[in-house]
Amino acid sequence: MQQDKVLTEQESLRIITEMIQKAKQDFKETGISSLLWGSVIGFCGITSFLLKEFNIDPGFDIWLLTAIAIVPQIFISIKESKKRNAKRLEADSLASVWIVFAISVLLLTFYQNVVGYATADILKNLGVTWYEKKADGTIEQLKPNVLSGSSLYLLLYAMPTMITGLNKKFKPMIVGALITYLLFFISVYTPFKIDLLLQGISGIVCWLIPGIILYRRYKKAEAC
Amino acid sequence: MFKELDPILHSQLRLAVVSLLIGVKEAEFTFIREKTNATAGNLSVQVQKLKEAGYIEVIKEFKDNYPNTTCKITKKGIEAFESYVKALQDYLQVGK
Repeated sequence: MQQDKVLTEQESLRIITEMIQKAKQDFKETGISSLLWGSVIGFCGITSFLLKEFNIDPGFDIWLLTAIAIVPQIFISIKESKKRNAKRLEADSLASVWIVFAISVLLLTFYQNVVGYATADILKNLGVTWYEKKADGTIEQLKPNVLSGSSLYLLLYAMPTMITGLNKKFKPMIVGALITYLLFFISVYTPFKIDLLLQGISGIVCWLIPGIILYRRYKKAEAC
Repeated sequence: MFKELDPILHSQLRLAVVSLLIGVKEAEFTFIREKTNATAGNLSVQVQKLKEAGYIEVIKEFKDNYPNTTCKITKKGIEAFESYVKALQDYLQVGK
C-alpha cells in the first residue's frame, strides 16, 4: 500500500470499509476450548449417571477429570494467545465473564462438599443431631445437605459486581466482590441469622460504597 | 463551506491503519502490516506520524524474547476518525 497517493472521497470510503472488514474477519474462534470442556463435562455427567444407575463404584470421583482438564486448557490458552496478534474490542469483557464463571464453579464445588458438614455442626450447636438408620440396622450421624440459600445469593451478588469492576477497571467494585467471596466462605459455616447480616454487608461493599464513590465523582465532574 | 479533510488521515496507509485500529482493542505491528500489505519501513514511518499526532498509542515490549510493537487507537484518534468520516459523508452527499 502506497502512502502518498492522493485519495478521492470514494477511495477513502473503500479503504475504511475494507479495513474494518479485514479486522472483523481475522477473529475466528478455534472452538478447541469449547470442544474440551463440552467433552469433559458431557462425559462426567453421563458417566456419573450410568455409574449410579448400575451401582458401580469406580473408586474415584469421575468429576476429578474436570480438574485434570485444566492442564490442557492452560496450554491451549497460552498457544492461542501467542498466535493472536490483535485483540478484539470485547476481549476483556468476555474474559471477565469467564473468570467470574471459573471462580463461581470453584466456590460451588467447595460449597457442595462442605455444606453438609457445616449444617451438621450448626445443628449440633443448637442441640440437634440427625441420625440415619442404614438398611443393615447401623445408625450413623447424618450430614444433611441443607441448602444454604444465603450463600448462593452472596455468590450471585459478587458476579455482576466483579464483571463490572473488571470491565470498568473500577477497584471499589472488585474489592466489594472479593469481600463478598470471603463472606460466601463464612456464610457456609454460619446459621441463617448471621447469613442475613453477611448479605447486608455484601450489599454495602458491592454497591453502596462504590455507588457513593461514583456519585461523588459525578457531582465533582458536574461542578467543573 | 466544507470542512477540510484531516491531512493526517487523508493518506492511504495512515487511513488504513486507523480504520483497522478502530475495530480492535489493540493490534500488533505484524497484524497491521499483513492487513495493509505495506512494507515494514513505510508502515513504521506512518505509524510514527500517527503517534506524533496523538491518534495512536505505540507500545514497545518483548514477546517470547523478541521485540514486539503494539498499536492502539487513542480517544483523540477516535474523535479524528469520526470527524473524518463525517466530513467524507458531507462531500459524498453533495456529489450525489
